[in-house]
Amino acid sequence: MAKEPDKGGLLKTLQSVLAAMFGVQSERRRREDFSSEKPWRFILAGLIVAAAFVIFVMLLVRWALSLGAA
Amino acid sequence: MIKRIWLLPWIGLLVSLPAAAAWQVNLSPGSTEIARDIRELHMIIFWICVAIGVVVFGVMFWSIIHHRKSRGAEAHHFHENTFVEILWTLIPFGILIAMAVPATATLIRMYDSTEADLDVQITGYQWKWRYQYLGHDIDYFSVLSTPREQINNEAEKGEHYLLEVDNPLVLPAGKKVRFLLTSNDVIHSWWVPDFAVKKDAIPGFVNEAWVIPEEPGIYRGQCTELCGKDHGFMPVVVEVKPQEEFDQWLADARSAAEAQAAAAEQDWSLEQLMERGEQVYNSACAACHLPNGQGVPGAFPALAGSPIATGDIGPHIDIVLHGKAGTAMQAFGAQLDAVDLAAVITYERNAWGNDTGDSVSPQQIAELNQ
Ligand code: HEC
Ligand SMILES: [Cu+2]
Repeated sequence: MAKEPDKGGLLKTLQSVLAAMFGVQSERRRREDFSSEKPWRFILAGLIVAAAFVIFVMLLVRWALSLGAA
Repeated sequence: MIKRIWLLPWIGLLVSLPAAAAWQVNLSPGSTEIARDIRELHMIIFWICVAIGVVVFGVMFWSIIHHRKSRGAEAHHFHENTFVEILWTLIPFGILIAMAVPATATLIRMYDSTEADLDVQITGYQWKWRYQYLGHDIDYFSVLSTPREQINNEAEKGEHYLLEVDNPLVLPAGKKVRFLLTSNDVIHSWWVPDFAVKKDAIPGFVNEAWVIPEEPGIYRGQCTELCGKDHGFMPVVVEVKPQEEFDQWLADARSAAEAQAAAAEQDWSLEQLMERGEQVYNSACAACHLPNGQGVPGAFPALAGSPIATGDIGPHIDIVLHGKAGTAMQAFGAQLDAVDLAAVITYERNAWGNDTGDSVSPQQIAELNQ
């Protein structure tokens, strides 16, 4: 690993997690992420994004039900 | 000529297409707004699936044929293509959302059983339905009325074979009716295709459904959850009447209930009880104990010569009124009125050679059946 892998910071971690949720990631980024020394960043970001997704779905359902009741 | 032989199945398919309507392979056209919406959704989604199938298989077969080996096609080796991958994720996502939006709108309306004009509790029994008009003192069972001879192939089958009952559920046209569904024994499911109502009736739970029947008429359905031996013999029949006729029916049903109560006060002779008892037995008990009282060995005991039906009268009345927990023998105390109970017990004690000579009076039953 000639390149320093952990430079990207928060935004890059978030991008990787979102790509994982979406199910599509480029090979280049995958290699980069998997050579990272700090897996906890991805695990933590994954948990947060998963929780956010659940909350988003709950709000979506509430909103849809409120439309139906009107 | 021989080469064209592959055409034959296709010609056969084309010729049989007009017959597809008679197969009833599709959903019922529906006679309520919700039922029509459901069918429309079903058709839209069906055609979306057809379109996807045509495109996907079209591209696939075109590729296979166009890039065949005999034309010297060479495989193109590459590992990934992020753009295409994103595309083939987004397109199905978009299609699913486009289907989910109208489907959710319909589902939400289907589940909105508020503001009903009439509440009917529907209880599944092995193997019949009970209808209770909440707040109207009307409570009755709806039992298959197809004659045994038709079922046993001893008579020509009628037009509504296995889709006819003695007492249909009667509903007013144009009113919102809420159904509260539950069961007395095992899981049943109450289904009327024309209303697009299909709801499980589960012991210990109350499920809700509703309908606004539009056109007066007769609607037929079935139990649609395998529930035992006579699952195919507990149809649903709904009779929708205009409001005035419905009101008249309600009034008649109430006075019939009063007449029944009066009949329980009368004195009944052994002959009268036997005659009535035979009818009650054939509609309520014969499914298990058989019309000849012989039962089904290993499943339903014979009543002819049974120690209970020929012994002391107390245990006999008890098992008919209260059933036997954990067996298919139900508590008939709540299902039949005092006269029918007295008649059927009297019948069992005197039919098929059980000549005990005993007769039970409706008054006796009324006292025990509190
Ligand atoms: C769904 C099936 C079913 C129906 C319908 C049914 N029974 Fe039973 N019945 C049973 C079974 C099963 C038993 C045996 C219970 C046990 O294990 O002791 C039984 C037992 C009895 C017995 C006791 C017989 C004996 O010798 O043990 C009598 C009497 C009886 N039933 C009367 C009736 C009457 C009257 C009706 C109609 C009003 C009726 N049954 C309808 C299933 C049924
Ligand atoms: Cu059933």
